[in-house]
Amino acid sequence: MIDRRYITNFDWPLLGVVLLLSMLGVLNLYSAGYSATGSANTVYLRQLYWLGLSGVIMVVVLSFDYRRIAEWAPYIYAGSIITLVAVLFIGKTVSGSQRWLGFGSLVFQPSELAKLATVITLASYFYHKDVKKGYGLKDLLAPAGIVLLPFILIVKEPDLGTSLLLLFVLASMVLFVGIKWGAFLTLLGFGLTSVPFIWSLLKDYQKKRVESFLWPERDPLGSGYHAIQSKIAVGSGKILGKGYLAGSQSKLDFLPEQHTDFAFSVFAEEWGFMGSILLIILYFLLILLGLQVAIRSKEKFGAFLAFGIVAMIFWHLVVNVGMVLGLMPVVGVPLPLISYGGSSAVTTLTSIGLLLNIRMRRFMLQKGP
Amino acid sequence: MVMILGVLPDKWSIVRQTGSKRDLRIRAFDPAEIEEYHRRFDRITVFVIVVFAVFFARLWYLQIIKGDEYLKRSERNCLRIQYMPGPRGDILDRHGQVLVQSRPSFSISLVREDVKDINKLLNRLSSLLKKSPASLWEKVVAAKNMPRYMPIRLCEDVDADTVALIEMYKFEMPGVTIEIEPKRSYVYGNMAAHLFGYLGEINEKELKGELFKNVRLGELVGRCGLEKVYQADLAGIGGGRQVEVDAAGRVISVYGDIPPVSGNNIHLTLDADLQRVAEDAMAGRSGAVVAMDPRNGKILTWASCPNIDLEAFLHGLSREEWAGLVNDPLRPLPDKVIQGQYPPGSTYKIITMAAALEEKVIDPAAPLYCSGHYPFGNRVYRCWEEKGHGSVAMHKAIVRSCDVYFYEMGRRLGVNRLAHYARGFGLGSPAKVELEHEKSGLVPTPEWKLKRFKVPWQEGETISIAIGQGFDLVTPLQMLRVISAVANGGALYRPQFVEKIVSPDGKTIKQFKPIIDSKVPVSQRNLEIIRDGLAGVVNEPHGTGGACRLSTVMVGGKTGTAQVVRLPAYREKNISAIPYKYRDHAWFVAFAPVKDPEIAIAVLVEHSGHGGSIAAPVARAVLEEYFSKKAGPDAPAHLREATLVRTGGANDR
Repeated sequence: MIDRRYITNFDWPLLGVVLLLSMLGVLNLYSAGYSATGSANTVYLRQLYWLGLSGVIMVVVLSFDYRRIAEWAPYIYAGSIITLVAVLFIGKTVSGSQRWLGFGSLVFQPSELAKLATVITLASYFYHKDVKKGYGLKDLLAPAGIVLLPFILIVKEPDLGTSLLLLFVLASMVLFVGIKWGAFLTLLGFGLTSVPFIWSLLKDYQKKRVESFLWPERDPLGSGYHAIQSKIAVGSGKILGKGYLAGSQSKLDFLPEQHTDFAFSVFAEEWGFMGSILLIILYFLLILLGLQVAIRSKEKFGAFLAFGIVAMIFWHLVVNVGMVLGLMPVVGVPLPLISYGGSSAVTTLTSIGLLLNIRMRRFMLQKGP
Repeated sequence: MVMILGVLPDKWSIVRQTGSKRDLRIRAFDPAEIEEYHRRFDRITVFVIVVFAVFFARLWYLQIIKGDEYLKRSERNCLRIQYMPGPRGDILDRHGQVLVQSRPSFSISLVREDVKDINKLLNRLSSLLKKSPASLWEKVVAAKNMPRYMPIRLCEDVDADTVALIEMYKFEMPGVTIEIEPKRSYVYGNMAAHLFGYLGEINEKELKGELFKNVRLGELVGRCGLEKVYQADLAGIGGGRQVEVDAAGRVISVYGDIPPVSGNNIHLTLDADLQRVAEDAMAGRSGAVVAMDPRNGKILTWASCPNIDLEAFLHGLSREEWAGLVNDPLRPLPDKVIQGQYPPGSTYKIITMAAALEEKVIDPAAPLYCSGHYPFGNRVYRCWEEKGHGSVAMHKAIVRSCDVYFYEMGRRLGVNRLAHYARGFGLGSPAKVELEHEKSGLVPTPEWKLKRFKVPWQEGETISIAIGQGFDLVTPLQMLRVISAVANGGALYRPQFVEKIVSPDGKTIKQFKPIIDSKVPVSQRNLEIIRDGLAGVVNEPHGTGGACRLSTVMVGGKTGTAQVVRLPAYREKNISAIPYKYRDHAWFVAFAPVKDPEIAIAVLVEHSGHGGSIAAPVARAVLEEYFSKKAGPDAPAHLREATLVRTGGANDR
């Protein structure tokens, strides 16, 4: 028997934004795959299957009280660490990175799931720790450890983008739950002074990699080339775009990774400024509605979890859109719901499911226990 | 993780049991806290708004302010990437003589994006390049899945005249580019071809592997030999540049440039002069000549004859060319030094002799009688000297290679003791060289025969084995290690090819050290007796190895003639009357000088006749060159007769 209050408290606008973004994503993937090679265009179909599966998972996530997750967190965390270790040993290697675990024809990227698992674990930790007057340095050792383990495992794959995202999410959550000023300044100072030290420890080829990461023009054959081609694609869309299925940059294969990391370039080229702004506004709504879930939650676990999830989606957005628009280094991070990626779709929609779950159960606290 | 699991039972449980009801424990916000959280929330919202405002501004800038400019650039698609492969490192001999190097060569490529009318262009090119339009089309079609701005290689290693011609008409043919790239060049032709190994185009599977991470599709990688073993060291690191081109594909400006880096140079222990002499001495024959310094295992020559044409492999072999190599009766493909397995023939008597001395089955001074026949069981085993050697003690037996004497030694020792000493000398197992596909040879034992043929060992087989006939199989390299161990006092060195690896700027990256794998189970005194006998083989009046005698240096050695078939029908016949594949293999192993040996050598000539007459002169040529070179140019002329003529590089042929 479904409680009527679940329905009245359900965040329909959030679901609507997510469905709209997913639809635009599939539409765009159809174009990205269209006539790129003259061969069968199947990427959008696969994305549809993944979205369907993710939808089912989302419904399952809605069916139980999210607060139980606080208790499951250690097991979720342990499970995600195990898959991350497994991928290092039996993972599939694609273009130099060992990121994928295969179960028959199903291929999964454990690092995607690890992001959500880490957010859940952090939220659960902060909830149970419940420091009132802001976290000190000592209190932060445990959350740092929680993030460091998956961080190192993902760096090993190597997947620099995803591992850096984990650090961003940790920093955001720590700022949200509150940190003492002293601790904040110490960390900031420590971070800034350790950079030259770490730099001196790096080997020459590692320095080179970091340099071409920060200044793509120093890597004119790789990321530098991709960055400029992406800017040309976006800019050439002008106000109204070149029209659906008519983007020349993507159709002529000038754009790299046009299904995944540079999917937004394809969209911006074909739909122009108007389309791009629409997409950006949809994401803006997604972030604001997510933040609303966090702040309107009546209890801490829900607030922390919702905030962590929003932070995770937000940083994906910043890094990916920043890269496509030439504001940030070229790092392989998917744009949630627009980039092709089964693991990313599952993780994103599961996260959205959790947000909806937190939102629709906020009334349960109104009576008090 | 443990920490979290450890505190779980009480504090972490959020399920509360109240009577029969299970309820979720809740930790709500304090009213005071809520205010603080709202403040943080406001700041975060402002931050989010700022970020989205930046996105908005950036889209405005790119699409509206700069839109026209980017649209033009997207229509012209003028950015290209030009790759410059990194040259492979050189291979040098022990004196720094370059043996294999990279030279610049020109190739003609096509960028489809810049082509106006591809049909017309390919027809035009086919007449300039003197290639059929169909073959050019094939290349274009093969690359149809590549991005259109990537150059497609049409024709490689184009000669200078054609390059000039293309350069002249280039402005009429937009999309055509001339690329300079390094190409493998073999300074001494096909010298030591098996040791160097050939190159082949990298395949898709290898591209994904770790070993080839600096290699791009279409580049050549080591397929065998040292080129493969040291692929990671030899391979250069490709560079390239990002350029803007005009409508004709001409470079207008360069946006970024990464210079290619050469691979490391490999300095071998090989001596090019000795190698050349060895190969010349083997001209027209099939077999192997391998020599090393017995004091450290450093390889001086490594010849597997006939050589393969390394240059031909660079362009890829046709099916017919492959078939020709595979079906050639001289078997040019395998490296016979480590992949050729032959009965050792009388060279094996060294091992029988060592075993007899160590096991004291005879007093070396005690004579036996050789009548030319050795009856055993219901068979009669013959000595190669039909008239017999008469009274034979050990020294005379090895000098004249008396079969009957060693038949008797074999009978007294038994098969298992023989096998023990054969293994002690490194036979029956690979020498663990770096090259691939090394064969291990065969040291037969009764257990092996029972397992392999399901029949018990016959005593008579021991008799055959004692003179290296029968099931025994050895590689030329294994025999080289045997003779080296005799020469150096019993050490089995790991054959070493590479002296050092040097970076293009001259820094030594890796220096290799000799490795002793094991010691042979023979005393110094007995090794001395064997060396004395082997010196007699070459230097005494009736020795079988007289053809390897040098006037300046005392050489020790042992001949061997390995029967391929035991057919009495062929016994008395002239060698040319016997079909090629039934002719005997000729062996000679040697070391010099007998006191303090510096060089050891093993020669095998397939299907050629007697070791003393065929293989020994080959060894002599190499040893003569070694010692005349050592004596220097001031030495008397007769010591320097074997002067080396350097053949032209691949360019000149």
